[in-house]
Amino acid sequence: MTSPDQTQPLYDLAGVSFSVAGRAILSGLSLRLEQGRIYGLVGPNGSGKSTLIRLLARQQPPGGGSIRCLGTDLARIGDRDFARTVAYMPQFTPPAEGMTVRELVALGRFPWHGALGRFGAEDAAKVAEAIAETHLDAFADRLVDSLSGGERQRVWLAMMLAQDTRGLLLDEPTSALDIASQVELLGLVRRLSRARGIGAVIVLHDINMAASVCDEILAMRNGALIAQGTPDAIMTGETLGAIYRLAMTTVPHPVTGKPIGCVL
Amino acid sequence: MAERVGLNRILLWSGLALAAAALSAWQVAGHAAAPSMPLPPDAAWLDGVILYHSVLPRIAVALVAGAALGLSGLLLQRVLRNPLAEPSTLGVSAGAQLALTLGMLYAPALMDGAREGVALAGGLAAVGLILAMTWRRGLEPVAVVLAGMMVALTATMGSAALILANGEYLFSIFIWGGGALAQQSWGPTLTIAVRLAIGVGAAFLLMRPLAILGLDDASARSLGVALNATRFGVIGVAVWLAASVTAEVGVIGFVGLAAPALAHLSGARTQGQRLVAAPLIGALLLWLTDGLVQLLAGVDGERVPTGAATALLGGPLLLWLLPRLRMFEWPSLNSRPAPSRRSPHPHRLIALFAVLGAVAVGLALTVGTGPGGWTLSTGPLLDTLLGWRGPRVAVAAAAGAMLAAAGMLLQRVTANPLASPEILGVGTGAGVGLTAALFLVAAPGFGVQLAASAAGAVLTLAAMLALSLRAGFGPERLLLAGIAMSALCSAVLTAVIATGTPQAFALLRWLSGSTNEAGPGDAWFCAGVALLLLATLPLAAKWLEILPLGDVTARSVGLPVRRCRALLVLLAGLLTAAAALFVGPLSFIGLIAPHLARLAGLGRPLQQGIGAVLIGAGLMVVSDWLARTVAFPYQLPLGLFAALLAGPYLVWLLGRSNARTP
Repeated sequence: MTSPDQTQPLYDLAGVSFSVAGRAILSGLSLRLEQGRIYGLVGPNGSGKSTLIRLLARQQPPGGGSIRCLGTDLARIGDRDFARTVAYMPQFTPPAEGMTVRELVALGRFPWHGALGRFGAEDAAKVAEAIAETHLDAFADRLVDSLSGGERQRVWLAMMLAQDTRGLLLDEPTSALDIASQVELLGLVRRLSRARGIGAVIVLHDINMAASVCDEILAMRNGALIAQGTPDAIMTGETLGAIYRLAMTTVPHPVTGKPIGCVL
Repeated sequence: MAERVGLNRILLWSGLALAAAALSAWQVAGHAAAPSMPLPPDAAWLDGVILYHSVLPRIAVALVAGAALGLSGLLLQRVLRNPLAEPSTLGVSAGAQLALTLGMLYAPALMDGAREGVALAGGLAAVGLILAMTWRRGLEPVAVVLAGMMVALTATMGSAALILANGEYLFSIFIWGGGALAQQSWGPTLTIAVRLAIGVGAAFLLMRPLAILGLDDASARSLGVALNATRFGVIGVAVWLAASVTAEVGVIGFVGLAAPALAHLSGARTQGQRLVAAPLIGALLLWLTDGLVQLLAGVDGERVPTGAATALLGGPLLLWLLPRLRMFEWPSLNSRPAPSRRSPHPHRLIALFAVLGAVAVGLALTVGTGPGGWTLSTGPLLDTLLGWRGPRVAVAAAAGAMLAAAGMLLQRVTANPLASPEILGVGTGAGVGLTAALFLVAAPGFGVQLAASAAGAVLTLAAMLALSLRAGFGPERLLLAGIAMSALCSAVLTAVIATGTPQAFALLRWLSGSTNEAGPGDAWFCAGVALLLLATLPLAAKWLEILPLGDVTARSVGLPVRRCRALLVLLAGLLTAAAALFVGPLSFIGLIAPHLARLAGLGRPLQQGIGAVLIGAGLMVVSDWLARTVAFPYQLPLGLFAALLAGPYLVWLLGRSNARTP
C-alpha cells in the first residue's frame, strides 16, 4: 500500500449494498473512482450520500458487495495502512477541547509514526507544510476551540493533509459555513488536490458549488446512482429535475457562461 | 394490535398481582391454617396474634409504602421534568436517614415524639441543598441527579461514620436503613396511609398545574402558572410522603423511580391515568418484592432487607430503561465548553504541584493533634511517629495518585468531562468483587482481595462502556447509567452489610474508607502497584490524545479503537481497584484531580496525567490528615473528607458552564 500503483483506481465498488433494520439505504452500487480527480456527491436528503462516504471511509462495513481501494479489498487493509491511503472528515467534526491547532494537525501523523514511534523531523515538516498550505500559520498555537467555523474546518483539512494520503473524503465540509468560507475551503481543496495529485470525494448540498469545484458529479437518489458525468453533462434542466424531483432549469453564468441550476 | 398489547399489559400486571397475592396467602396460611391441625389451643391463639399483629400489617405496610413512594416519584419526576427523579436519587432518603441517626445519638428524647419531623427535616435539607446546587443550571436532570448522588453518598457516609464510631449499638440502624418491613403493629400502616390519602388528594387538586409544569418554563409561565410556588408545593408534598415512609420503614429505593416509568410504559398517557397507575404499580412492586424476600428468607429469619432487594431489582430495570426513556430536551452538559486555558510553562506548573504535594506530605508527617492541642513533631518524637504516620501517608498518596490517573483515563476514553471511577460505579463495583472474595474464600489474602476487586471494577467498567457504545447513548446517559450501576452495587453492599457478620463489619469499614490500619507492608505494596501501573501511562499518551476526538476521527487516523479502549479500560479498572482497596470507593478524587490539572493549564495528556497524579496524591494526603486530626482522638473516614473537599468543586463545575435562568 505504501507505493501505490498509479494505474489502479482509487476506489472500485461492485454491487455494494447497505441496509439498516431491513430498510435498504444503498442497493447494488457499482462505481469506479480514479486517482487524482475530484468527485462531487450530490442528491436529496436521505439519498445515501453520507452512508456511501462512510463506507468508503471504512467507518462501517458494507452489507454486501465489495469495495476495493487501490486494488486491495477494504477489509484486508490494516488500520494504519488504510489511514495512510485515505483521510476522512466527518460531517460534524468533534470539539477538540483544549488542543492547539498544531497539536490537532500533528495527530494526522499518527498513521505514520504509530503509538510508540518517535515524532521525527519528517513528521514535523509535513505538519508545518500542511499548516502553511491551509494558511493557518498565524493560528498555529491558538486553541482550536477559539477559532471561527471556517478556520476550524481548515484545521481539520490541514490534519487530513498531514496524513499525506492518496485520497480525501469530505462529508458536507461546508454545511455550517458562510458563503465566503465555503468558496475559500472548496477552492483550497481543489488547489491542493491538483498540486499533490490526490483524489477527493466531497458530499455537497449546493449543486452549483459542486459544479464549479468538481471534475465529475455523482448524483444519488434512493440509494442508487442515477447520474454521473462532468458538470456540463449534469447541469441540464432535465437531469437536475430527475435528481431533485423538481421542475428545474439552468441559466448561463453572467461571467463564465457555465450553466447554473435554478428552480422554476 | 394496540388492543392486544393493552391486553398483554393487563395480563402481565394481573399475573404479578396474583403472584404477590399467592405469596401473601402462603404467609397467611402458615399462621391461619392452625385450626385444621391438631395443635394445642394456645398455639393457635399465638398464631392468631402473629397473623393479626405481624403478618397482615406487613402486607398492608408494603402496599401503602409502595403506593406512597410511587406517588412521590411521579410528582418529583413531573415537577422536575426528570425521568430519573425519585426519593433516593434526590437524596431524600439518605438525608432523612442521616437526620434520624443524628437524632438517635444526640436527642433520643426527640425521637419518641417527632420521628417523622426529624426525617422530614433531613429529607427537605437534602432536597433543598440539591435544588440550590443546580438552580443556576435550570434544574437540568443530569446535574440534579449528579448532585443528588453526591449529597446521598455524603449523607450515607456520614451515617456510616456515626455508626462505626458508636459500634454495635447502632448496627440495627443500618439494618433499618436497608428498609426492613417487619411490623409489630398497625401504627406505621395507618400513619403512611393517612399521608398517602392527603398526598393523593393534593395531587388531584394540582393536576392541571402539574400538566402544564411538564412543558418548558416559558410556556408554563405564559399559561399563567405561578411557577415556583407550584413547584415548591409539589416538591414539598413529595418529600413529605417519602420522608414519612423513611421514618416508618427505612430507605426503600427504586420503587419511586420504577413505578411511574412502568406506568408510562404500560400505556398510562394522561396525567390522571398516571396518578392512578403509578401508586398502584408502586404498591404492587413493593408487595411482590417483600413477598419474595420472605420466601427466600425461609425459616432462619431474614437476611436481606427489602429495601436492598428493591434496589437489586430496580438497578437492572433502570439500566434497561435508560435507552428507552424519552428525555426532555436540555442543553447538553458539554455543548458549549468554556475554552480552556493553556499554560505557556507546563513544566513550572508540574514542579509547583510537586512542591505542594511535598508540603502536604510534610504537614501530614509532622503536624498532629494530641490531648494538649496541635503539636509539631521533630527529632526523636518524629522518628517514632514516622513508623505510624509514614505508611498511612504513603498509602493515601499512592491511592490518590491512582484514582486521579484512572479519572484522567476515563475522561479521555469516554470523551466525557464528568466521567470518573466514582461516578461510573467502578469503585463500588470493586467493592462487590471484594465482597465476593470475603464470602467465597476463607480468610482471603491480599492478592486474592486485589484480584477480586480488580475483577469487579473491570467488569463494571466494561458493562458501562458496552452500554455507552450503543447508538444514541450520549454522555448524559452514560453518567445516568453509571449512577444506576453505582446504586446497584451499593445495594449489594448494603444487603451484605445488613447480615451483621464479621465480614459485614469489614465491608462497612472499607466503605467509609480508612487508612488507619495501614502498615509498612501495605505502604510498600500500594506504592509498588501505583508505580507499576502509572509507569504504563506514557505508553498510552498518543492514544489518549486521539480518543477524546471520538471514534470516527480515531478510526480515520488508523487507531485500532476497540483494542485501545479495552486496554485503557483494563488499566483504569486496575488503578481504581487497587486504590479502592485501601481508601474505599467514594472519594471523588478521580473526578476532580484531572479537572484541576486541566484548569491550571495542563492540556496535553502526559502533562495533564502527571499534574493530576500529583494533585490527587496531595489532596488524598490532606484528606487523610484531616480525617486523623479534626475529631481527635476519633478517626473519621477518609472518604468523607475527600468527598467534602471535592463536593464544592463539583457544585462549582455544574454551575459554571451553561448557566440557565429557570
